[in-house]
Amino acid sequence: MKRTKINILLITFLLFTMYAFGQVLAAELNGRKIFDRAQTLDTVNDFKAEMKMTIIRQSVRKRVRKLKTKTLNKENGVEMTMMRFLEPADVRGTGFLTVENTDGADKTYLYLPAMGKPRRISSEERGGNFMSSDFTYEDLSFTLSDYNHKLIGNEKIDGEDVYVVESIPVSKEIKDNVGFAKRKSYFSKERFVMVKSIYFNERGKKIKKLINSEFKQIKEGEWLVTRMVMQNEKEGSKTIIEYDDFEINTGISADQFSVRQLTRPL
Amino acid sequence: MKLKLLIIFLIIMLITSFASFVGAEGLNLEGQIESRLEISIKNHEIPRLSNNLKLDLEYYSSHSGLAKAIVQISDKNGNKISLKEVYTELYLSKTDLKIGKQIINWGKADGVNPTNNFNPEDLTRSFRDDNKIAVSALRAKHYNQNWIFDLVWAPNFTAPNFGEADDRWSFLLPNKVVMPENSIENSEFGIKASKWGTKMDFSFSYFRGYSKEPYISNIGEFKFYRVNSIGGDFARDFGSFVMRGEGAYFKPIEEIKYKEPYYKFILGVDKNFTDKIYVNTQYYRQKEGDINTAQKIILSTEYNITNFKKLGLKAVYNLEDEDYIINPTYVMDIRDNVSLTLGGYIFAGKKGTEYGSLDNKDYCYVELQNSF
Repeated sequence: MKRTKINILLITFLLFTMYAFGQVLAAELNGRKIFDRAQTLDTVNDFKAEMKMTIIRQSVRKRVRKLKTKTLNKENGVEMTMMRFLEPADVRGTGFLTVENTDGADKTYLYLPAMGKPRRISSEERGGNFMSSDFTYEDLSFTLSDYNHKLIGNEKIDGEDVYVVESIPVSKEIKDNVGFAKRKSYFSKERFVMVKSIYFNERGKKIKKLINSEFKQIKEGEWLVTRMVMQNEKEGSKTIIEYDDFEINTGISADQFSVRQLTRPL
Repeated sequence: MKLKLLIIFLIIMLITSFASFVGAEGLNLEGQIESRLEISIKNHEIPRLSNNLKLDLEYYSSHSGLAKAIVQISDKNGNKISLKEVYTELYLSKTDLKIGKQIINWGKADGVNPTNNFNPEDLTRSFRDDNKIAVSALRAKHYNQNWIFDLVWAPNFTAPNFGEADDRWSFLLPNKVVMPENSIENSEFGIKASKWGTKMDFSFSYFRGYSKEPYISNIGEFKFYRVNSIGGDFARDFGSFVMRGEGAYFKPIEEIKYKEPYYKFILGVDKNFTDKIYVNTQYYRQKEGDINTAQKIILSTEYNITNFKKLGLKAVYNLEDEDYIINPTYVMDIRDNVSLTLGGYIFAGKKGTEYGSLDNKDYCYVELQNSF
């Protein structure tokens, strides 16, 4: 009788352990958690880099834009970003400042040196192209909470095991704003970085493909994407973004993200 | 003539010499060459080809400040050289001081800014974006959290440029321009307090100085008059729309016959409808006493055919006199730093109205810009 009781207890414990382990696994394999884990930049206090953007069209010569970008993740969860163009000369000095607003729309300013003053612009034009490239503003600052993420499978890409996560906008308004109906992203199981992402329209047709091909390790188990290629299936064009001169946790202060700084020379 | 050519040569030598010093901080040299061919549509004026070289020379240090000079060399009237702007900006912990010949850009509306009263217009560049003349001034901007306090003092009066006899708009030339006497009392002063808020940006401002739009005396002289003006502006986004508004009330300091206090205001909204279409619409009104002196709808749209080709349309329709101006453009970025613009200006309306009187001045143009 005693032995039976012990057996029941053992089985119960085993079942509970299996259930708990299953829960942990399920949690680990949750689509949102995979995205969270891959968003390495959210884990640093600040980040500075130079960015080279190469736009390639069939009908025109390739265009190269260089810009400086810096981001601060404040303790209260507010993210501040400033981008300034270094090249080409006709856009040099053009800048964007975005200050996240936790209880409403973000605050965004555009500065054009010829205008001589910052101009408030809508922060909800997320589906618009970023400086004539194939990347949209949304591609560069993907807002995770605006999508339902679901782990839909496991695959291999170039011999590497990957998770496949499907992201669908939570509302029609967001879908209309961001310009796609579904996004299928592939994450390396080993490094937890996104290696590929495919964008689909409402009819399920592929519209864009993002390939992340180079990465830099910033600390144990955390990687940053340093080369992204966005291919526009419809236009037959592509844009390559390459990050250089990475610096993280440099101690940038919040006053570096102000209209005062935006209007200063580079 | 030889002296001017020598100066141009020296400037080109400077470009070559400084090229190796170009960098983010330190000495920077940038510039733009613009060639523009204007062809009249209705009259038989000979086509005008103008060439401009604009050079921006700056020395910048993020700690101490900025020294900047903008020189323009134009082939108009025999290689004209002008110092467009020259100033020094000092960065203190919470204050920026700017001293020199500069452009002060007050106001949040687009193109028409009732609170922006320091810089007169270069009327030889009417209807163009860069038609403001820099003024010698002292400016202090004090930053306190989300507030900016802006003080400007311009000791001397600067008049608009009415142009010369062979300019496109030369029929606007006055018989005589009476310039105000340079004195402390006649100097211009302004103060502005701006709030850069989470949901809305706004400002209040005060200006005491000269109206840059002269009145015509009984004997046909253009005379400038002093005004006190209070104004304000705002910009606020509502989802994907941004609303902007700006207004100012002007009261002449001295009593002028037939000149009453007046106000100007502008209210507008802009939006990117898709990735390709941008629309900006504004309503402008100017009222003097009981009379509407202007009431206009201002439209500005852009359609991006591709990322490097766009169609633009700017139009102003005057509701009072039913006259209008239309400015269509087609801009091609031929390659990085080089753009080609095809455009035109069409004026229409009854004789004697603002745009109707320019009815025979319609023209089209081709402009090539090369930045370096």
